[in-house]
Amino acid sequence: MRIIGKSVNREDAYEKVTGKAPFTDDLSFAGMLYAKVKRSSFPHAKLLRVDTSKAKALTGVHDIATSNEIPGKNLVHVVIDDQPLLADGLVKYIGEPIAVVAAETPEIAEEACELIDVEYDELPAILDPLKSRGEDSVKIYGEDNIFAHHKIRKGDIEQGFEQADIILENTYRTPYQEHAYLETQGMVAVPRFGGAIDIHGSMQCPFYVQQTVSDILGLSLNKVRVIQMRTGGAFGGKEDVPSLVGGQAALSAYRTQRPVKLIYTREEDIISMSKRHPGWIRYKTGMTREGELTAVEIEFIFDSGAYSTLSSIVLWRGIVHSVGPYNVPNVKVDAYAVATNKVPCGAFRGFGSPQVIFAGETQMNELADKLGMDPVDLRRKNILRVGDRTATGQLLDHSVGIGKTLEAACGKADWMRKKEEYSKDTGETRRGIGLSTIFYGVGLGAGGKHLAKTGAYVQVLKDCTVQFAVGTTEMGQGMRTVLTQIVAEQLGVSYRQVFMMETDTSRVPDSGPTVASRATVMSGNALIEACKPIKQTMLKTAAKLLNSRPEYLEFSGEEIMLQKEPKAKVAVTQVIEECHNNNENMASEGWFVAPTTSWNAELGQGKAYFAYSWATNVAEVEVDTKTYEVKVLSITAAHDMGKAINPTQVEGQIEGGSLQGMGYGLMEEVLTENGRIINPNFSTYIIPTALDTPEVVPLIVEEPFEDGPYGAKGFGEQPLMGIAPAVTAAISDAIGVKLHELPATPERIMDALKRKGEGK
Amino acid sequence: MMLPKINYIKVNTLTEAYDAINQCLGELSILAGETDLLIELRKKDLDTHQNILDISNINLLKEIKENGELIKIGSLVTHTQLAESPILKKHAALLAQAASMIGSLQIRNRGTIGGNICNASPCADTVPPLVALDAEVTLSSIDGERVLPVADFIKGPYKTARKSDEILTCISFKKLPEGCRSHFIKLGRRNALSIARLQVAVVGMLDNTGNICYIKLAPGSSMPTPTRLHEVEKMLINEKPTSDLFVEAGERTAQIMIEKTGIRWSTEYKKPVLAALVRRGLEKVFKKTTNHGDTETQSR
Repeated sequence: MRIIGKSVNREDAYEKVTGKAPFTDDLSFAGMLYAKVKRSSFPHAKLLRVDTSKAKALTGVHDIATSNEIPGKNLVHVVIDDQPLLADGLVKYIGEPIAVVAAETPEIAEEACELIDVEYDELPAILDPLKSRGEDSVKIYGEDNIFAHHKIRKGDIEQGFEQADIILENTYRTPYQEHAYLETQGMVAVPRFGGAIDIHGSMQCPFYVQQTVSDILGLSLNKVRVIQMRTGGAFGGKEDVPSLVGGQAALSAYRTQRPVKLIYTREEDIISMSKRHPGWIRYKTGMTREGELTAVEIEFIFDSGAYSTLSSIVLWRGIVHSVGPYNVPNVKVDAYAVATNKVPCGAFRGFGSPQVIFAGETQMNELADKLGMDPVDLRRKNILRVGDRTATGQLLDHSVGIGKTLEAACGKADWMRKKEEYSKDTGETRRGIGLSTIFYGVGLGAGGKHLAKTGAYVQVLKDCTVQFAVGTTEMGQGMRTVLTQIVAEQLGVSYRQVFMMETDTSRVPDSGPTVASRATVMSGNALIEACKPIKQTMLKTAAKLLNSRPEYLEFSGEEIMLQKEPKAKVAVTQVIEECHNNNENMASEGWFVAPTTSWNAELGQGKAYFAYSWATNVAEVEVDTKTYEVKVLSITAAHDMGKAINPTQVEGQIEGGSLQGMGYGLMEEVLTENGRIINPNFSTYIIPTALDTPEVVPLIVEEPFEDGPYGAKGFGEQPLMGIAPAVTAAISDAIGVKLHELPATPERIMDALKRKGEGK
Repeated sequence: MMLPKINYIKVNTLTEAYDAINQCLGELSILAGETDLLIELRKKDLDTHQNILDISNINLLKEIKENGELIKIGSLVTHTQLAESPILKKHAALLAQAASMIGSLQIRNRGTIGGNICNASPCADTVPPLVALDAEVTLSSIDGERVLPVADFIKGPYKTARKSDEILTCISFKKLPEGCRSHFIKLGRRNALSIARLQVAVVGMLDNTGNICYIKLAPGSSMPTPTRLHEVEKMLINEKPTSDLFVEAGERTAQIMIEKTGIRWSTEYKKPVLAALVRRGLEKVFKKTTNHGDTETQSR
């Protein structure tokens, strides 16, 4: 292939590196106003009075909207319809939006917010997710504060534990994680003729924003157009919550009939936008003396915050991934998403899986220890292979690369030798090596079937360039580049001749969200579909030029040639010109619906996802036994993504994900006091820097997926997911402690050492 | 970023600065490298920052000079200048080392030594080395100059002895004696853009008989005010540099921290770790094998 599998330069690299790429805050329109959101100061309170009179009197203030001023439905639809755009009589978390101000300058808007007088009647708040469930609790949601309960029932769990020679049961806790995207949330809403409105902004899911704006303003969908700007990082944090930002900007713009810009400050963004769900996981594993898994029983709780948002499907992905990439005959899982009076949690790279992966992989590593078996051998015994069934009963018929990733990562890291070498360390710093093996369900799966579709549009222009559009978005993950490669490969043109237009809801039909590592498979396939009729037209035209028939011709590089007589050929550019001369239609749409999935909610059984990607991570660390600091020396990560359409981008994803996973494992912590986030900026919310970056060794394994474009599966989230347990396993290997709570800060490592000393 | 309305005055000389101070009504804040003040301004404390006097153009205050046995550092010398200074690397290596660990390159290019001292954060990275060097600050005003030890100038967290009409113009200290070695350790939560959780500055030398004949020890981020630990120094002076002694010195330092600050949530962690860092600092300075003027940078 000419372009697929080649590390062409990122399509947007130059404009981003040189600072030329326009982001939302760079947009301006004549007569534009600036919006600012008034937010709740209490975690749970009745709103007795919202007095905007003083704020309205301020010179330069054009509009203040509260829930009473919403012309349509006061609703941000995600899954369960419980979240208002603006609080109506009740606030459920600190930072919940109460009113939107539009003013001539950001300073005036901010001053006006301070002048809005809100009278609260404070209610008891639930901040601890373990105290949320149940009828005696303060009510945040429904009768029992449970947004969702998902389960898996496979085999006979009691019998499974009876067959076990050893049973290991532990409780794990995982923290919030903040996305820390470089660009904060922002939208610009612009009223248009005919009562329509355009929304420009930073987001993953333009069709979600379109729905919310339509609901809020009471406008039909055909009057709401959403255009994605360059998006400075997202990681899931711009999946559902941009609907709030877009709804707020749209409300002001609609009421004032002027363009309105709304850009969140970092502090505002951190206190009010979604986070990774903190997890509480009780994990019980049964195993034979020979190291065969007989049973896994899990109960876990995700602290979901004040509104349901995406929690139900985050939890669902959590259960599907909770047992890990292993053969387990008997499984019982119960998972709950519970309400608390804190910021609503949502999507974050891995989407409910890093929490359970930390628990599950730590179980495997500790079981290996108990059995005196090498953790790599324990994986070899239990990993899924073609012909096996997952915990949800799904038969794996192809594209199962986990064994290859295991051997690749452990081989490259020189596992056996390092394990031996590090065990001899005697000084104040000790080295260790640890492992995790993971899988990832690609796409929305059975939990999001109704959204599992994508559209594409391709047009070949008369100067032989190509423009295309898709409904999925570029957020830094590299989709533009990968899709440009696919179109160029398909149409026999060079990479530089192809240009992806900005994602815009008016260009292609609703294509669902850009989440779940789905863009390469979904939009890639839709583009291939869109190219088909154009290629047919080109073959037909080439046949005339070559005095042949279309079925005897094929594309070869940037030419079309006679299959049996390669010397008879014509340049694709010449064919394109001829097509235009003949008034052929050189534009086409493509549509792709995901392969079928299925789900039995009572048993938690079914074909959860249409494909799985696989990975093995090996982490090496050095632990300072006096300061309890951990230095990650290296991460060797082997990933099976079916086909690396752009290997350099795949390696970049592995490097970035490894670092984000390391932050999750070692240092990132959202600190709260009475429901208030007290570290809402990057001097106190600590993420890794370039100087903390270990050597990352990315390894590509390709087990093609037959329904993927060129065999590709999804991959973007996976590099983060298994890093934390590999790192904590390496710490355990170095100093013999058990770590069941993240992040593994120096203080927690010190505590773990003390517990070890006390023989606990 | 939204900032409050302020009265901003920029001057090119000290004389202009004194005039501006005299003419100014209300509170006046001095802007040097802007790395602390700009963040303060975002808190919109209008009373404290009504007037901003920008002294960053006063070129006279941007030099590191040798003056016989003295080193004089202008208050507008940046952390980058400190980190790269051949004079400091030769005569007070721990100060260059500490400066190189501050924030990020951008912050080191802007932030100044004078600002670091005047902001008086308990975790200011240049302060423990300056205290271990017995450095003094010169405060200048229209009425003249006065000189104070850094340890006396800083009165507490974010509090100094600077009067409202004074500008800190110079930091001076004696070159370390020939053969004296120094070391600075910073413990943070990451390797760049890191706020210190604990610091240790050590300066020391052995005599011909192998006994400690010179020792100055200043921990940071652990005491209410920056100070040398004379008591611990006494334990060490005229003694043989043994591991046991260093362990003891570390433990005593940690005890002093608790005596001065009381037990806090962080004490359980900080107590053993400060003891270990002091021991390591002493080992580094008094270990036998390395060359004179060892400046090896410990990154964490």
